[in-house]
Amino acid sequence: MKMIKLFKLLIIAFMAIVGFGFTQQDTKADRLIGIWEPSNGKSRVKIEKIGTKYYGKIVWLKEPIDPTTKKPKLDKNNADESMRNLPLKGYRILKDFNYTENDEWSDGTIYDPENGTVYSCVINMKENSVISIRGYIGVKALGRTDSWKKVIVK
Amino acid sequence: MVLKSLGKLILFLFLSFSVPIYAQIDTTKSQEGEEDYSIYENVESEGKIRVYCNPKIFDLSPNRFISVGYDYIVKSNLESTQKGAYLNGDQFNNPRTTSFVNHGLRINANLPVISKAKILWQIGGAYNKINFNETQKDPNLASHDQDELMRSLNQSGLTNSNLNTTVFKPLNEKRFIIFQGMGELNGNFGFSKNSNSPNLNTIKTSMSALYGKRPHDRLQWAVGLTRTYRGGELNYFPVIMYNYTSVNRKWGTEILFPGRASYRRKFNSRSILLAGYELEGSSYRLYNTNFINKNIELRRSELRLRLDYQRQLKGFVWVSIQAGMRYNVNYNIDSLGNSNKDFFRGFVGTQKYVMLNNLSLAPYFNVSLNLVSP
Repeated sequence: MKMIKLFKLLIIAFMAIVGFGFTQQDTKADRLIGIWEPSNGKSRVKIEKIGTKYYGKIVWLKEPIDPTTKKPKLDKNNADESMRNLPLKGYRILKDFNYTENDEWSDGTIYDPENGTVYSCVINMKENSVISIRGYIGVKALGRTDSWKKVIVK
Repeated sequence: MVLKSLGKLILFLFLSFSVPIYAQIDTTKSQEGEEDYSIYENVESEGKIRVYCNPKIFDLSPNRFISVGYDYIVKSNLESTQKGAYLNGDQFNNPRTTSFVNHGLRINANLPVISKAKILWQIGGAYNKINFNETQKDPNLASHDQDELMRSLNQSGLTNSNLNTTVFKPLNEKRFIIFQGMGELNGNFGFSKNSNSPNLNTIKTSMSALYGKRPHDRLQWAVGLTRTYRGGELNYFPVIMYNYTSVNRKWGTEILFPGRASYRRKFNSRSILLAGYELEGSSYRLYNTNFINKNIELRRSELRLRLDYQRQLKGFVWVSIQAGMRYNVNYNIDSLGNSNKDFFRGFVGTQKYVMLNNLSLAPYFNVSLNLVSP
């Protein structure tokens, strides 16, 4: 009976340690969750966690109306014709980011609605309110970095 | 009983950790309608960040990281004087005409060293070859000084190799400066055993500095000064950049005057047509050439009037197909004498050429595959 109690205690202790580790890791990783604004100030992207990965969708556009059609902007440059009628607002442009370590989220992609192209992407957090987001082709050296600031809904 | 409970506990914990991993995620559909987006209109910044202007505007033809192309100039006639002392515009006495075809590989690379919102720094290099296939010589003249020039050109062709760097520094949300520098090693040299070897003392440097403004996403202009060999010989020009995209984003301009200017027609985000011109040129050292004078330089410059169709093939790989006319601006020969130092003639200099050449108008084609930048 004592052995069983000891065994139970060990299991609980083990789970507590593992659980604490997960929680700490999650807390660090979840700092990415929130509303972010690219350096050009023309859009806002809401990053959220779905499953274990991080995704970001456009939630605000400085110029939401297409000057040609006078209607809300659509994803008209998408390579997939069936997607071209979807509104840009609400469109997920960041996909599949995993928190690795050292304040970095990788393995994701970023979609540029300006040319309908998807780039590999890595996100680094410089401080809690600023992330550097780098889209690249194949290797990180062939890319471009932008700084996004965190904003809070009033 | 205890083991059973333990088993249930482990199963529960396992499932608790596993479920999120296997959750089905629809990552493509728009989320429009699922939430009220108006709440994101009024926000306050949590951090401070400076806003810098982007180096590009909407719909510019894509920047190229790596470009591999082939250039072909259909038969052109080269008319030359004998060796002597000539001013530009002097009459061609006793000229010789030879016809040839030019063709060659063109490889260019521009890779980012720093690519951030507050500074963009690229370094690049190029290798451009011009081979000569002589097709016809004027049979009425048995010997002419042009023979020596053609022997030099036929042997190794002309090689242009350069290293360059570009810095784009945004000053704020709307203003920016650009600096470009280039070192060129040009001449009738090659990499085979029997080819001439280039002399590093013949490196020529060009540079440009521009200051500009980007009032909005469809307009970018700049003014500056350049020291350039595009005219074939050293010269200094004012530079005007004017990149514009129309409101409906169907057309625009890409101008870096006097170097190049194009009207851009966008068919869609994956194909564009440019119609315009580019001034292309360099000064080439002619090694192992039996001219009386030493340190011979071929001043090559041409205006290429062209249509350039660019289209995405797949992902980041684009193809460019150019066709147009090559108009000769300069093909004269200078001697730098014993000093081996290049000189500035400008538009009014009185330094004399040792040979005048004139190339006829000729059609040309260029095809390239390009890895384009984000």
